Amino acid sequence: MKHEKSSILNWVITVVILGIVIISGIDTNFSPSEFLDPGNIKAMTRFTGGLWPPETSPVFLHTVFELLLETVEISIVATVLAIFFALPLSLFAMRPRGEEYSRRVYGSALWSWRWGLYYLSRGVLALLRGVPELMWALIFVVAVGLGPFPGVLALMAHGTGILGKLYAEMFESVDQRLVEMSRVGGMDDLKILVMTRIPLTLPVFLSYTVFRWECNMRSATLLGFVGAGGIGTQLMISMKLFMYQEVSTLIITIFLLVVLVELIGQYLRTRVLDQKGVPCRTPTS
Amino acid sequence: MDIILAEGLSKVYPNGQGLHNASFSVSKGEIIGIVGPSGAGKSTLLRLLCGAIFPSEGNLTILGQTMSHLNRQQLQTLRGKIATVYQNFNVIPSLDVARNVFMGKAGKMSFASVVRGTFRLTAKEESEIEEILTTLGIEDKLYERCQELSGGQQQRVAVARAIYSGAELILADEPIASVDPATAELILQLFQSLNKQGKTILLSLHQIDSALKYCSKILAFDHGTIAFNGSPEDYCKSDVSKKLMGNFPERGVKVV
Repeated sequence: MKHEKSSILNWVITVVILGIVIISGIDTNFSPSEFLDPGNIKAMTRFTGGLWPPETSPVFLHTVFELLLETVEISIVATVLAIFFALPLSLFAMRPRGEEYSRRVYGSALWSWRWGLYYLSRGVLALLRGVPELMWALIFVVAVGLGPFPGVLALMAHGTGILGKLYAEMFESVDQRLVEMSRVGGMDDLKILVMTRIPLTLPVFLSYTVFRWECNMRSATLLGFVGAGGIGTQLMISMKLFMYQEVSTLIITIFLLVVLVELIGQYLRTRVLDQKGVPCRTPTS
Repeated sequence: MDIILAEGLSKVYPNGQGLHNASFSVSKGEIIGIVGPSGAGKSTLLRLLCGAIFPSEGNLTILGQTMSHLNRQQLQTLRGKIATVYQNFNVIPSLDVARNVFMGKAGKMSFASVVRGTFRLTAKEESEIEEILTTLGIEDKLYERCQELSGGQQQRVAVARAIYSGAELILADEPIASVDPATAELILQLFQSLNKQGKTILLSLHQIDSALKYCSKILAFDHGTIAFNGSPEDYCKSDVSKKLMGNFPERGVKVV
């Protein structure tokens, strides 16, 4: 009986989802035939034809290099700041688990504080990551003016929201039995963090963080579109001036940069997962 | 003085299992073997005693403190006086042996010292830990990660932590269930010598013969209630032993 009901429900859900997909496709003017339209084909050939050869004048390459450097710097500063703000927020955003988190053991005041902070930090994190990077960039450009600084703030804000949630969930997902083992040894939450949660999650922690840096790197290339610094500034200008050869150089550089960052990230992650960089086997004195 | 006093102690889980109306007391210097089939309430009792869970009914007094009256601070202080060894999940795999043992005292240290300890042990701490590891025969593993150790060695690390903590009450939940016979013997002998030094020890065991050999008192559980509480000699003669054996012949335990 129960089985029957759920399988009918499954069919209903399938039909509804299919309907949503079809309606969305119609509303967004999805039509592959656009690619075969003679006018569009002409525009595309003009664009792709204009891409070659890439612009290689020393002056332009110098500009590109400086903007590239700025992009990398934005991503680095933003990631470090995001870690700095995400860590404390994630501690409060961890759901208190275990029987001792009762009102009686904690006392009403502390208990209310703990849960209040939990919902507050969850809310803050959700807001930070709910607003996309470019929108943060727009906001900060208005607030602090054009240049790389609003870009740093934008990536920091979004990154804090994402890292904070990831950290909180990572710390929460630690084997509860090991947490209990530490807890019954008399350790409080902060000590458990240092001696149990962080050692257990260090590889994941570093891996998430490196990945976030990679994402920030990619996002930083776009920040220039709204005047928040980085290589996107030049991409926007060249695009608007129909300088497709410059665009070509820029796209190639961005691609190379992203690949490079990915490779660095991969190297760091494997190193971390092999636990070569984890401080543990430090002999004393 | 009673180290542990339980009166009508109950902890019932949503599925009805757990511990029902258990009353018993433990005096200082006793070594108590808790026996009974799986699901009989042994682990529940030990988790209640170390304050991982709280009784749903009844009174539990440990080292003069009533469990249901403690606030967070008092609870942490009390837990610092109790050492616990579980069957599994005893060590942090990514930390080295020294740090895992060091954790035994972390509850009583300042937060700053704990952070310092994760990076660097003092010479005193190191030599103390090394000494304990020597009695357990794993002193050469001092700076090895626990994930690189065998199950039996990890269990020794857990016992070393219990010793290092200096706790007067040691709770062990099936400490020898997943280790080789030699390690099991070593751990039990160590518990016995700790007991001779005046520590009170409760350990749950599936190996009835070990319990009879090493423990001064037997506490037998069946279906969440205490089925027997008395000396090993009386336990052998009692009906309970036959009943509990009879239920689980496949386990192949023999009564000495």
